[in-house]
Amino acid sequence: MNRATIGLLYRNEMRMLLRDRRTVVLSILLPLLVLPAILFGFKFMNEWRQEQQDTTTYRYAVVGAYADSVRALIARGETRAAGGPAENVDLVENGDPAETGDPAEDGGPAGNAEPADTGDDDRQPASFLEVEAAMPDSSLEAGDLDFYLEALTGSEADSLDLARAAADTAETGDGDDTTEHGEEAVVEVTVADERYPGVPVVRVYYRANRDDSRRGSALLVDRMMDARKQDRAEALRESGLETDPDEAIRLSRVDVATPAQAAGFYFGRLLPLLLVFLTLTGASVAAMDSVAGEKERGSLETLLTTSVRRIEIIAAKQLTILSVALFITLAQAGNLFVYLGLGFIDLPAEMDIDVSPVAVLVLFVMYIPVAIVVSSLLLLISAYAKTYKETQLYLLPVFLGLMVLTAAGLLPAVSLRSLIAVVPVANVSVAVREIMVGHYDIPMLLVASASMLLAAFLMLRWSSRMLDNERLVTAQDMDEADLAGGAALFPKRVLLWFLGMWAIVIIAPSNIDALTRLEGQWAFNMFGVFFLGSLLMIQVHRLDWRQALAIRPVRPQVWLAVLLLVPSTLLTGIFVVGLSSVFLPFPEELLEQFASELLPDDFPLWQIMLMMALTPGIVEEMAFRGLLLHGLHRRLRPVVLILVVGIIFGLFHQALFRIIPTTYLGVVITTVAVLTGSIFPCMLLHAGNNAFAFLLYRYGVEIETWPPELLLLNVPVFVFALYLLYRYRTPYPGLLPFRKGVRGDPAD
Amino acid sequence: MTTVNDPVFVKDLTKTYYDESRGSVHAVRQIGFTCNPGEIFGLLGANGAGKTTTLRMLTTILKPSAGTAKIMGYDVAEEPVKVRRHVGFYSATTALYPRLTARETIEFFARINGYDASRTPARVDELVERFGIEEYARARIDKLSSGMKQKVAIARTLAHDPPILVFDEPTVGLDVLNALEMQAILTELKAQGKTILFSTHIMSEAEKLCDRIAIIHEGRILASGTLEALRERTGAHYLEDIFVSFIQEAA
Repeated sequence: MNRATIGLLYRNEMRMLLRDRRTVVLSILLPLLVLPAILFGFKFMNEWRQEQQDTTTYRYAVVGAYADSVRALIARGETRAAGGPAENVDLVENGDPAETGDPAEDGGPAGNAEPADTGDDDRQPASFLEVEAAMPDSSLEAGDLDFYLEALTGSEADSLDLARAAADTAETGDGDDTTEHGEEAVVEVTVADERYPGVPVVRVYYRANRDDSRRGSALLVDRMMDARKQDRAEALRESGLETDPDEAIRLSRVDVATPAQAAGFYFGRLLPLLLVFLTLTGASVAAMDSVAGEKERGSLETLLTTSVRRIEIIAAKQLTILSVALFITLAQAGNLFVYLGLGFIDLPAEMDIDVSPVAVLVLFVMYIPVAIVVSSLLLLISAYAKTYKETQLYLLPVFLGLMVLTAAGLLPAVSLRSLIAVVPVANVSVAVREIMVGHYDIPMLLVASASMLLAAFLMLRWSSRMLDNERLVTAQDMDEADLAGGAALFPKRVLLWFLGMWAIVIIAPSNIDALTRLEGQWAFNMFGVFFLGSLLMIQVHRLDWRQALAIRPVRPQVWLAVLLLVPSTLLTGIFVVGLSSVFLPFPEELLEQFASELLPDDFPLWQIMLMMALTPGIVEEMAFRGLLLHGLHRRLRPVVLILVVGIIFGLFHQALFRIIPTTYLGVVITTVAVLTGSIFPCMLLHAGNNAFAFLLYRYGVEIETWPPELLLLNVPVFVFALYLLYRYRTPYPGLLPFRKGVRGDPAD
Repeated sequence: MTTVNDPVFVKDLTKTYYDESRGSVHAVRQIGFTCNPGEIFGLLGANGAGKTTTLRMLTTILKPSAGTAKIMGYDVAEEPVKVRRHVGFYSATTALYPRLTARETIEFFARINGYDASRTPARVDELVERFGIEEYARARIDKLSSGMKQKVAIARTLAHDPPILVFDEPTVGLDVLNALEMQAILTELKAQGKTILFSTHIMSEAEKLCDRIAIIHEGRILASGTLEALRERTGAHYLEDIFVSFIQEAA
């Protein structure tokens, strides 16, 4: 490579880039302004919130026979709050610090940045106004009340308890404190969960979906508890007991992290997301313009006729995109130092991070490989796509994938001293979180950097090869399929279809009430998305349905192979699940919820088989091994094709912990489709796999506990089944060759 | 006599590629020709005949599937950088950078093709003057009219003063005046001693400009020679009739 030539190309690229208004806005101005805007936003929001707190008067009502005593308790609590220093009340009797802790923290992630001293809570300025409310429930609903207290005498509470006990026997497992209001999002706060007979009860009803309701009720409960504690201490003193029994052992939580470290822990989780988001946004504009834009305008062909080497062109373009990515990273590091390190903005406690110049420098150095990976990836996409539009299409999944990796920093209990250190981008995200709390694990930081640099190098090499691919550079054939439309256009549109379906599968459950439960989602996905989607693709692109769905006969031996594959795929999959749980721990409770919602014990077996095995076996296969495979089979070489179809299949199984096992299953089924050229064995394998898995679950067979030798015995069966398929293969028609150089491929 | 030392030497050149919708496409099939120093050699063929693919192989944008092609003695597959240093390629699809000025464009292409840095400003001045683009030499390309862009594009092609010029359908999309201007430029370049390889589907243009013509159809060269020689072979006078006669013979 000639450095002078690269320099010349680079200067030219930068000159053009800086003359593009869109790039200047998205790659320079936006990254410079976003962090200060966020920080100023936090500051102003915090001040506004504080002001609101100072000036808000919480309206409440007290109902019930025990109301007067409660009013007296409130009055004493208010007197204490207004008076001298309160006693330490960090022994929260409710047992839920999230409810009674610093109200300012209510909106933050649970367990994050807990206040160093909860004893200050009840000294926050707040005023309360008791109002009359004949129908407190309706008033709370209408917003006339922020919360209300139901005060029951001991005997009232006793009779209510009896009634509840009777109801509980009818509804087993309902041992929590949810009342009939609980179903309507009104959460009950009781002063004591367990009580002796005859003890009065106070319930505070509030609405967690309203800030004032949540905050006001928490503050008032704190004050009442404080007053009650004081009452008890006085009563004990009057009885001659000098020591409060609660204080027999003095319990307290001492946070030894500095407030800056606690803030760093919180901010360190968000910083990688912000950085990767800005880098992707800014650098993608440069990348799209630099390669795909040049292809579209035809100037890349002009450049290719000059006496520069393609690798020099790629190097210059890579440097250009990298410059943008590095500028964005540097701008953020500078912003961090100026606004947080130098304390340019007077930030609230949860944002007041101690950002030293060393931390900023280490962060910047850590992000250099991220910038390289992101810019290489963007260059790769831009080099692969022929047009702007096509680049945008590929950018979305890459964007989402990178954000998912970056979100690793949000995972609790994941430290850099684990396998995550070798997962590009995710490792930096976790490293940043650790750096922000002042933890520098140098060896693992080096491992993470090495893994990132390797990933960057591989992508750089890959993108350089892209410009050698003539199909991607010359423009004359590019619109042929667009002009032809219909079936010819389907290979170009199939990913867009599946992106749309994926978006629907992801978005719909959170926006449509009927889909909040798993069985609703199941029905919607199977028939509304996969089945209807498949029919629509066939209809819109005027596809031959037999070809699109791979309706072809297979040899008899294939059925034997598939029958062997059903159990062996599942058992081999146990290894994959075991491996994947190293990265993504299997959340047992989610799995339980998944199973119990979808597979109630009282469901007849045939119904479960219909829902879980037969329907997905048919409908999902139509979509994935039918249309998706049909759309992609002439665009990707077989190995990549199998992986891509498998991964897309996995990505449709939304929950993060299910992606890896389902991707594995998808890869195996796609292999069957490629070897047999038919959808029928895939349907049998898919349905058989699901049926087998659910039967094992239903009858409580825990394969995970089987001895590994037993599982290993299954491997030869799995391999033999694949061999049978290969031996009696009737390959999917029209596949690309396995390797380059066959059939006059343009990449020769 | 044909030798590998001719400015352009092509033998058994073939290009086959795989297209998603069409399968294997034989764009160029074992073609051969040479260009003599200082002549205009025309590739005449209908759309899709293989002209552009041939010229793209000669300028190293595409790699030949088989056969040999040499430019100034350099093999297009083995020494692409040296080939490109000796060639200026102009086509309707080779666009300019919209955000550079005309002057910056010429300067950039001179430098990137290895033209001596100290002589570049004088070369830019010379081309700016030759093509009469002084007035808008400092205007961005995206602000120029198509006629002006065409002049800048030719100046860009000549920036490094290459001995061989490849023009792929240079008059496509031009109005009559601009097409005539283009033809005048080609004649002038020939007079300067440049070897010009030129593709067109316009018979009158080939008849008027070319010293020798190759008729290309479905990736094969059906005939090549001077206009007189082609007339003798077919007995037809007009190039249009000569062209049709060869096509019918091939069919």
